[in-house]
Amino acid sequence: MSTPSSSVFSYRVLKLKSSDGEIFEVKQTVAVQSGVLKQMMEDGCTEGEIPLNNVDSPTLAKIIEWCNKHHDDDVEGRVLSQEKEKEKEKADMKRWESEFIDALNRDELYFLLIGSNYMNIKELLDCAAQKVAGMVKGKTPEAIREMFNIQSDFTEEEEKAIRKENQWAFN
Amino acid sequence: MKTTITCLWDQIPTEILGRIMDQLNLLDCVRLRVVCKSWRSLVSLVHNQNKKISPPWPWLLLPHDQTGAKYLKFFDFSGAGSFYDLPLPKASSGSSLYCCGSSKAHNDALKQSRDFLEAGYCLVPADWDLCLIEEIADRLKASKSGKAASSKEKAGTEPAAETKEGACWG
Repeated sequence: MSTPSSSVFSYRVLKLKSSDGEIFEVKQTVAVQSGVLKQMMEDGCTEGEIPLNNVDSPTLAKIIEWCNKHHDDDVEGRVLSQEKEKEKEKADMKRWESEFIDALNRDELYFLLIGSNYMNIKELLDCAAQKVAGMVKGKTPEAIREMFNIQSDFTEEEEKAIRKENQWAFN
Repeated sequence: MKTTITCLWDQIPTEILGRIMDQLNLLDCVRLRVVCKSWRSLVSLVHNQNKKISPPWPWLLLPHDQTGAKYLKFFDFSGAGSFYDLPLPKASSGSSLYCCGSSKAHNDALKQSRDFLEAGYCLVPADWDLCLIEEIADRLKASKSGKAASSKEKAGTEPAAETKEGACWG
């Protein structure tokens, strides 16, 4: 994850500080996937530690793992002569992505959503959002509550009224 | 400085819920609204922001008994291909009903229906509620010209039993 600093541009690193104070070194070419960090690089304000107050260290480690997997600074160096090979790479990446997301528990998934939204990493956010959508698809409100540990704060009457109003969606 | 982040699914930021809802159909979004109070308002908020909750396919309005119909039956092409009964508002249950069809975009339905209907209803997805077309037309006019709707009182009155009413899925 951390690479020794060098004068070569692609090996320059950013120091990211998680909410719990851990420092992560990330190559600029990798960090550019975050809209927020990209903007900071363009504005030239990435000297020193960059505090990420909405991302704790386990989540930041996950986010960096994702970005390392998706960064493409060596893609140009590789010769992908065969269309088949490209297709295979795409399929491999899809498989990696779903394994990455499926391995998370509910809390980790939540923090990843918050973190990727905060750091503006669109692909990761979309992937995590898709996972949640798949989890709630076709589920009853009770099952969704149980899944995400949400307490219903409707009174019995309120819940009855809402259900009556939307009866067609519950048949 | 150490910041603690708590996992609170019911407090999920609106923009994230919006991304999740982008992947869901109308039914799933309606169910999300019943989970808890904050999701109920978040779903409405997201809907008002991006106007994206609409069925990916228009629902097919099925033939129905035009006199005294209490429900409109729709068939949903997408997903499981289910049938849905949408209850009509009380005012129209006893009166004769004319349905002009279903449409993905209620604005289109509105334009079509206004040409041949004296009074009509349009289903507003944001509230899952049937609204008088006249009222919606006034609202649109008012929002364009910046003036307040002139016939708010009129919109609130119940349509006469003889009036042909239209219901459109928006």
